[in-house]
Amino acid sequence: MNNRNRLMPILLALVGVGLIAFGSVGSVLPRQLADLLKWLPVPVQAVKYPDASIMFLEEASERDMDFAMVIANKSFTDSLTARSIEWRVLDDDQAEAAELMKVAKSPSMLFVKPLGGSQYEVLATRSIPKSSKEANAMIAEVMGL
Amino acid sequence: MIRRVSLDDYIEQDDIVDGLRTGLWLPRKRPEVYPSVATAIKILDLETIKRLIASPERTPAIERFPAKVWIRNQGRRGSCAGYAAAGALSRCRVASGLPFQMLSGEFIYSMCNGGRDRGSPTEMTWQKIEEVGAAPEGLVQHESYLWKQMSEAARKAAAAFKAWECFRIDSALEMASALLANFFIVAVVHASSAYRRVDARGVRGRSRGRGNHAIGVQDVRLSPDGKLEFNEVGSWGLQNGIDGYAWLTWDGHFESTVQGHAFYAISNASGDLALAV
Repeated sequence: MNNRNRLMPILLALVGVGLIAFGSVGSVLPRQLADLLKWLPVPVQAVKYPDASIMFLEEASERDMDFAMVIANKSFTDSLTARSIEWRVLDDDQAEAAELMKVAKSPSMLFVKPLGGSQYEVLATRSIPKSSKEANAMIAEVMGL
Repeated sequence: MIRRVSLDDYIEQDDIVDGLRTGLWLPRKRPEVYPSVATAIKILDLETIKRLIASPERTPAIERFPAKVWIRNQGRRGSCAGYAAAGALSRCRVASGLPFQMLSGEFIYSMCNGGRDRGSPTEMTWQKIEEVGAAPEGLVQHESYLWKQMSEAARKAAAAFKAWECFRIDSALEMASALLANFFIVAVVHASSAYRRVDARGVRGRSRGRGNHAIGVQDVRLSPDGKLEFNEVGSWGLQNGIDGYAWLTWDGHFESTVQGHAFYAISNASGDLALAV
C-alpha cells in the first residue's frame, strides 16, 4: 500500500474519534437524539395543589428529634404562615386523626384538602421531613409554592 | 391506668415570697399519676442533647414566645399551678400549628382549689384540662377563682382546649429530651428570696426546698461550662426574672423539689384540631 492509501483510513479514524469526542457540542447526532427523545413517553407533569393544607401525622410519643427541630424552627413556621399554608401536627391516636389513619400511614407528611370536621381528602403523601429544607422541597414539589 | 388524685392526697401550702403568692400544694406521697416520659420518647444522652441544642434548625423558645405576648401575672391569687398549666397548653397548641389562644389560669385553678383561694395541686390541673378543658382568658375575669364565677360561655368554650398525652418527668435528661422533642412542661421550684434574684445571664439564685411554686418550662440551653439550664416561664408578670422568663439548673432548683413532686410534660393539644375548610 502506497502512502496515499494509508492516509485514508487514518483520516477516517480521526473524523470518527472527533465525532465521538465533540458530538455533544456540535454534531448533528445529539440533536437528532434530542428530537427522538421528544417522542418517547415521559412522566406526566405532576398536578400542583397550591391550596393544600399540611398535616404532620405522627405518634408524638415516638417523635423524631429531627422533625421536632423543624416545627421548632420559627423561620420555617413563619414561612408557612406567609405562604397562607395551614398546618397541624396531629397525633395518630387522637380522635381527630381517625379518618386520616384509614387512608394514610403514620408518620407522614400529608397534603390534604379539608372537607369539614375531621374529614380530609389526601392529595399527596410524603415522609416526615427531617429538615426545613426537605419540608420546603416537598411543599414546592406538591404545592408549587 | 391513670390513678385519680383527690385534694386529700395533698398538704395545703400557700407561701408568700417577697409579697408574691405561690400556691402549690405538697403531695403526701410523690404522685406517679402519669406514665414516665421515658416510656414514650427516647431519653437522649448529654452529647446528643448538646448537638441538638446547637442545631441551627431550632429557634429558642424565648424568640418563639415573646414575653410581651406570652407572659401573664397570677396577681393576688394562689393560682400558680393553673397559670403554669395554661401557659404550657397555650404554647403546645401554637407549636402544633394551632392558632394563638391564651388560656385562662383562673379557669383551671377554679376547678382544682376546693372552692377557696388557698392554692392547688399540679396533678389535678392536668386531670381537669383533660376532662373539661381550659377556657380562653378573654372569657374569664382576671383573679377570679371560684367555679361558680366561670360563665356558661367559658365552660362551653373549654371543651375545645384540652391537653393530649401527659408524661411524668423525673430527671434532668428526661426534661431536656422532652423539651427538645417540643414538649412543654410544668415543674416545681422552691420560691424564696434567693430564688427571686437573677444573675447577669438570667439564672436564678440557688433555692433548694420541698417545692412551693409551679412554673412552666419551655426550653433548654447550655451554660458556658456546658451544664444544662432550663428556661422558666413565670406567672408574676414582666417584672419577674428577665421579662418574666429566667433560667434554672437541675441541681440548684429541681433536684430537691422533684423528690416530692412530679413534673409533667404535654406533647400536643386536643379539641379543635380541624383545619379550616
